[in-house]
Amino acid sequence: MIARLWRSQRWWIQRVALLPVHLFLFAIAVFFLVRLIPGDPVLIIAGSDDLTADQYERIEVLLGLSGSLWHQLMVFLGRVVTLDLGRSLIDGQDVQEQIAWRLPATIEIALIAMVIAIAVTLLLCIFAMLHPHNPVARFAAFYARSAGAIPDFVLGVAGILVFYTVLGWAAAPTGRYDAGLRPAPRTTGFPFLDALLSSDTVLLSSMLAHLWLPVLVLVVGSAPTIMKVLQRSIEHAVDDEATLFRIASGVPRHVVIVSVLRRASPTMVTMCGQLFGFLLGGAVIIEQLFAIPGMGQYAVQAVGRADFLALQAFLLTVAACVLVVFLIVDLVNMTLDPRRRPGVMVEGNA
Amino acid sequence: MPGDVGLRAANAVEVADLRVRYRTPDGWFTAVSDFSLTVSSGQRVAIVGESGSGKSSVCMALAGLLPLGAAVEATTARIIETDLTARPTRAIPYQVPGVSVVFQNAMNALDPVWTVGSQLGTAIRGRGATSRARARVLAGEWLERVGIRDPARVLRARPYELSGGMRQRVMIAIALCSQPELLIADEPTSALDVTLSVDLLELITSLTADLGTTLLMITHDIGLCRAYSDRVVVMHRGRVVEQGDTEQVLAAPSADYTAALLACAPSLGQLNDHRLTTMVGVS
Ligand SMILES: Nc1ncnc2c1ncn2[C@@H]1O[C@H](COP(=O)(O)OP(=O)(O)O)[C@@H](O)[C@H]1O
Ligand SMILES: [Mg+2]
Repeated sequence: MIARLWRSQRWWIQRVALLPVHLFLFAIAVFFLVRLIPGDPVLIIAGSDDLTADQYERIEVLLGLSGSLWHQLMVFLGRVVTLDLGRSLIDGQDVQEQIAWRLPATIEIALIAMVIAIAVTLLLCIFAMLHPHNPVARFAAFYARSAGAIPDFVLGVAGILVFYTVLGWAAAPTGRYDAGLRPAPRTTGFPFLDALLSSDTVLLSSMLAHLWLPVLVLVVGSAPTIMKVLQRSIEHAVDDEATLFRIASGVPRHVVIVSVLRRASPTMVTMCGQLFGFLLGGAVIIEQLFAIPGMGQYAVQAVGRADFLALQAFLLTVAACVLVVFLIVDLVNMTLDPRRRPGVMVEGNA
Repeated sequence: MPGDVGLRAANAVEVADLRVRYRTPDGWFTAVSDFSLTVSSGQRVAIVGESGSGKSSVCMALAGLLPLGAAVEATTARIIETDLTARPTRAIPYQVPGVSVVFQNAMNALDPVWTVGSQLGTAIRGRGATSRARARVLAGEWLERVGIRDPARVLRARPYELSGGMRQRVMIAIALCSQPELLIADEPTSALDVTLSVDLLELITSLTADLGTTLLMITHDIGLCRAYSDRVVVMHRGRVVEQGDTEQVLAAPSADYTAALLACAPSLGQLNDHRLTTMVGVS
């Protein structure tokens, strides 16, 4: 009974169990990465060369840079496991607290953009699949080919120019909402969701006015990437004999379409995982352009001030996010296409 | 049931001057031309010819499954009750009502990501109103009917978890469970070894006979026609070179090409004479 349960459920338990291993390996990578940054972090942070040996040592300990490399690694891993990433020596702020309020804000924008991009992509691709000669389908194909052609910051600048400067449809790129408004009480940590929950309509409409343009820029910039992938895999899946056999066996139309989409979707899901990484990265640029406080701003600040601990924490957080996203991608794909589960043998004549 | 036959149209297939062309980078390629065929209801017709002679193109044209890049023209093309010449072409085609297809390799034809139970179940429910639970029971019965001994396990399995012979049986069950009027089988056993393919051909002919389904079977092995078809159509380079009563054509071929095909046919034709009464086994 237990053995049978294990055999049927093993595929996802094993995959989930891999996450801590991946996190551990990435933590070690981050450890070495920040130590490759040129210059002595202690001196950079102190801002001068004439430190007493005592002062030097104190800063070294706070940064986790004292002792042998092995000792440093142990201290570092200890801090990561206990989630105690320290207090920035530059602004005295708790690194963890900073990330705890900035990360949801950034993820929120990236997620909204991704959901809209996926919805638009699916609708356009399904339409194009059913009506390949329609002008809308031709536009979708053209748009998909433009993938990656226009960098996000160009779209961002152009968007601000057109919709704020010329047309005045968007609010000034000065943050998440108008200055002078108070943020919604923190319940989930996601600013837009909190505003929704607080039913503060003034705040909410201000947020909508400020956020639609940056989200649009992210969507327009990222949708072609997944559209290109989905269109190609849909074309393959439609031409597949499996589609013809489904049709010939007399099933309803929607079964045929779902069958095509399910066979076509794993590549898109994988692409979405990568897209989420791009969106987090794109959010860095968008946050700068629109002066939205979030992870991007934090990273730029940390690099600019050589804030060793903040940079380290930023890298760890981004790595953790990406690993969690890849976990989700793998689980979704193994659910959609069981041939992707570990230990599944498929004859090589497909 | 044979009793239904009287209710059906007299001819399952009526095709005259069928031409199939494909759009290729260097212009239109004509794969089939001047193809005419009439099959009366309940008949078993074999189309034979070497690889590339246009057999599959005919099949897919009759089943309405050719891709957008193919052009189909005909003066008459009536399949069961559908006039193919009046059908709009679609990126994702619709089924020609009453026509099922069996392909050469079930590994490609079955949907790799759904279980056999789900695929067979949706085919049984079709557009009708059978309940899910009832469809499940019928699915098990159909698997037994095509000679699968442990239907419960196979229903839960996905195609890649089955042997080649079992997959082929599953495909036959899916194709026939909607009780089609016409079954088009495109080299249904060419990918299998000799004994297995004889078993499966007997299965197909006996099931279609039970259901009163007209059978249009494609093969490149003229020896197989003797036991499994009433009429034979010989194709060469996209054209019909000879057609007629199977016995007559095989006994006294009028076209040189048919004679040549017969001369180099493998021994399957003789083999199945001894096996006509063999029980349908499990692969
Ligand atoms: N989709 C296609 N596009 C272009 N040419 C094709 C296509 N399908 C088949 N053909 C060509 O049509 C001819 C007949 O093919 P086919 O009908 O598959 O023959 P058979 O089934 O008898 O082997 C072949 O020369 C083949 O190359
Ligand atoms: Mg063929």
